[in-house]
Amino acid sequence: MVRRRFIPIFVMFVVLGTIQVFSSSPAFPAEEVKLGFAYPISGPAAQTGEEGMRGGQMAVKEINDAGGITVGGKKYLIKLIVEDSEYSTAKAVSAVNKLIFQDGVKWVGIQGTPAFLASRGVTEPAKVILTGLASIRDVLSPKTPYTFRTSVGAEARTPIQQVWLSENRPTVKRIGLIFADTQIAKEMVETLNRTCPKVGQEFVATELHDPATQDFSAILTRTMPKKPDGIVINLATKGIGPMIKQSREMGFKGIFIGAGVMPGELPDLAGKQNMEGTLLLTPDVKSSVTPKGVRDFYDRFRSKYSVEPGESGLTGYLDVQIFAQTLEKSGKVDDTDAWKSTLETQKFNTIWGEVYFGMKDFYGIGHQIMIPLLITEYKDGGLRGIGIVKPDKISEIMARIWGK
Amino acid sequence: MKKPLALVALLIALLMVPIFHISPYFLHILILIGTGILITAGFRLIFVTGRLTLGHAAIVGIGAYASSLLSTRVGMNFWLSMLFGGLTAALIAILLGFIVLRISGVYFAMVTFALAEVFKYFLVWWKPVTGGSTGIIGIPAPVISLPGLFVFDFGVNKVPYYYLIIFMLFVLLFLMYKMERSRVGKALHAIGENDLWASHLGINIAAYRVFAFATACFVAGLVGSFMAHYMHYTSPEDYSVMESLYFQINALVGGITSFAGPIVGTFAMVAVSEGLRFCGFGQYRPLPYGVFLVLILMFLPGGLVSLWRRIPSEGNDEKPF
Amino acid sequence: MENLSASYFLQVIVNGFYFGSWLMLASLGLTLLFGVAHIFNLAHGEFYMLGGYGTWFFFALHKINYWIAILLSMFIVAVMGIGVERYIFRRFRGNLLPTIAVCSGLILIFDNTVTAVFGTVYKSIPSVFRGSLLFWGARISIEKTAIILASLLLTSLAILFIFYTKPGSAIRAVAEDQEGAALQGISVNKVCALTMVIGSSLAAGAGGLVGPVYSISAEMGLPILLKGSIAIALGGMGSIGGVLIASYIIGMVESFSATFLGAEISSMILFLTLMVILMVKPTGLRGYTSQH
Repeated sequence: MVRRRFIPIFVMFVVLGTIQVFSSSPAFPAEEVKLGFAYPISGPAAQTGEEGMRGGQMAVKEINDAGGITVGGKKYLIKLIVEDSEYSTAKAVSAVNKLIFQDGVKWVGIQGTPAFLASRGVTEPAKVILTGLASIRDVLSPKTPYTFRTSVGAEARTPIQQVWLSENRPTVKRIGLIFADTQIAKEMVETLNRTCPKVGQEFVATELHDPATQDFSAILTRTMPKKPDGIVINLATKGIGPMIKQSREMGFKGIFIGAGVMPGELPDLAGKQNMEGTLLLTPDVKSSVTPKGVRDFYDRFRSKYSVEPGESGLTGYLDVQIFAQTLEKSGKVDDTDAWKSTLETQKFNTIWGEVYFGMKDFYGIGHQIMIPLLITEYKDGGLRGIGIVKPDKISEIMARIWGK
Repeated sequence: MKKPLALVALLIALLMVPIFHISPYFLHILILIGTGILITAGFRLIFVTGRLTLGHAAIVGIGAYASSLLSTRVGMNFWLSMLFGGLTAALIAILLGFIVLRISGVYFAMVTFALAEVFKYFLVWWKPVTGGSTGIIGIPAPVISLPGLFVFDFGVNKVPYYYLIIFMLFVLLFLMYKMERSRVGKALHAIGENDLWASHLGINIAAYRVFAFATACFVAGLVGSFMAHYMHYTSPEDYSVMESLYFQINALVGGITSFAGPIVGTFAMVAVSEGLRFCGFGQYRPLPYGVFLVLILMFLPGGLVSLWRRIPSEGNDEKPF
Repeated sequence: MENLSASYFLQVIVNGFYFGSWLMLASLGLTLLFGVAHIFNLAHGEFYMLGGYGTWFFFALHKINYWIAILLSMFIVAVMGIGVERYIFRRFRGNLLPTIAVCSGLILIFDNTVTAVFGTVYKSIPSVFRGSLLFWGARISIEKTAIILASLLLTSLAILFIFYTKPGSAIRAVAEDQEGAALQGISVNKVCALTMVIGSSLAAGAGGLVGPVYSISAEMGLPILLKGSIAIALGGMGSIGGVLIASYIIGMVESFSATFLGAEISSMILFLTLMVILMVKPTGLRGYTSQH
């Protein structure tokens, strides 16, 4: 009887093993270069993940339709392999593992701060280039030489917003923070503590909450008596729509200062009039302050997919552009050290115009992409672009706020 | 006896698997199955003594966190920290066990449910130590170092982890099997059947229950440590109530009355889950998984194991809940 | 800590009362089903969630009157509840492990079906009521006030039904002694089905009512399950009076500890309280140790 029990299991193993042997990935055609994305296509961040994926896919199609890239005199097509990180760090790490070890990818684009941080543990030892969207400062360091960031982090975004407010909306003096208790939160508190005094604002309230909460009555009960004029919130947190609604019901008359990427459904979840006056960094593509390359990108994306891309769509597209140009400029198809040097020294022609990687003084390593930030306000039921902060000004503000 | 022969054959087959250039992904699945089997076996052990725990995933988490903290903050080597992970879990099991195992039935389930949640909130609250909701990252890979001879770092290669879990599976399952067949095991079953009767037979119910609980938790703690070092990452999310439910599902689908139940059940459910991924269900995998689960529970109450035995599936034991 | 004024306290109390009312409505079904059919319905949160989605579907999407949308969802969920009880729970009646396992399956099925059909994007139900009431410095939105009133109303209706009607007395009979009731000619099956109808529709109603305050998502059932389980365990599984008292206790404890101590500690306190009570009196505050 024991025998009977074990033999089927044994047989199962053998059968499965055989199937696996025959289904292992075949050698890839020599005319392709591979790029991998580990994006949250399903789960809570599915919309931003999908946007990013489509942005990347659109870029790949445009480049391939134009004949591909030319590296060392030879033509190559880009193959983009997208894995679903399901918004879970463990799955992101699995996805990255699969991309590198099963698909042979040497450049991975990733979305999401925890995923970004954890994936470095796989990409750095394997000398794989990692780029993407992440919010905190620690993603870049001299200890992770193959990691580059293609988005601007909260350590720059928040000071930029606060400085802009101090120059353009001086009545917003008392600043509160209601933020999901994640890795970014600690940085946000530190950033605001440094920034507010330097621009004539007062940082009066800090509330860190469970990211899954939808009920903010306790937090708002504590915060309202402190009379904030502006509340910094994480636009990407799931509960933020209800938070905005509930805060208005509790009598909050000030503005919200949006950190992070705004999901498209937020105005519906929060109530459009509740969001009036919110300050964000999401591009308004109808505005002339937005660079032409970005506006064209939005138009093409919209006509192809019938939906608006967001910042993650931009980053996905940008990652592919940078990948393509890095390979072309370095003249190598799989030498990540050569790619690394190219990234560190060259300029790239992208939808944002000419960009490069820098800010070595601040991060210890010059791997931060220098793109402008667009100041946008939510007004009359829609986004209104009201200003642009160019990379030089960003560096200047960073030095001012973070300098000794 | 033919039994050891079959086992040796199985062992050899399993050891040979990586040699066939199996994709790392497949190895990953096997490793997941291995860890699942051990945890589910522990869950079953507790169940045999008449207690249904809804918080077993938290025990895994205790082991994972204890050993990860030792590895990352104190720099302890993996083998010691894994041992400590298991011991910590077992210790907590003993401390809590005497108080909590007295409660029976649904109430016990609720208490374990509550405990598991407290554990999760505790992890998030004690942020400076546990890293809060983001968890611990950068957990180092195990290293085998024989001073002066060689140093072998597991690194990012899945194969050493695979061999380790196979080793753990065989050793721990063997020990658990032997225990269940011994007088201790018979006492445990007796307690599960009928408290009153067992105590009249002179069995110290509390002591045996705590022993079973501690053993199951020790194993769970070891596995938790293994998984944390395998993923190089752990966070409170990995130890939710839903995770505990998955172990119950494995046990029940396999057949709770049999020792092989957790093995067969875990294998089946992971196979279903991954198989669905290949079928292209993608993010909607839990749907057919849930349907499959409900159907099995409704039409095969004895679990998959009842297919092997020609014993009519009488459903689960009539435990006095 | 600044501002320990009377209005601050009042605000905390008002918040707590709101939590308690909502929790009571959401948990009543869970305790009823356990008391009568001895089923711990782990999938109870799913009915709540389906009620929310149903209300969204009818009201937000198809512009049907808000209250009618809620009633429609309650009806649909009640029908589903009967189906689940009849074809699934009945097979395992009494047996805890398979019930929990099958509920896990149901949770997976419902959550993913809903996501597959409606997408992962959270949905919002527009508020029917605008504005808030201000009294003695404490604010409560009219929306939340409506929820409190509706919860009290529905709960009262359910209690009146159970204690003052003939079917209600059948329910009470089965809850007290299944065999005895059967011997009296009461159809236990029908009573269980009826209990399920009441329980699941109340949960669905709670989901729909509370929709505008939060947002609708597939995961909204799980926190309710958690809190609801604490409520019924604290109050005594199967006891209606118990779950009433327990809901408000939990509501107040949570409001006070969340406001003064922080959210995580408040959850820990809640669970620890539950643990202690269960260890001292496993049947909860008002639970009776009836044999099953």
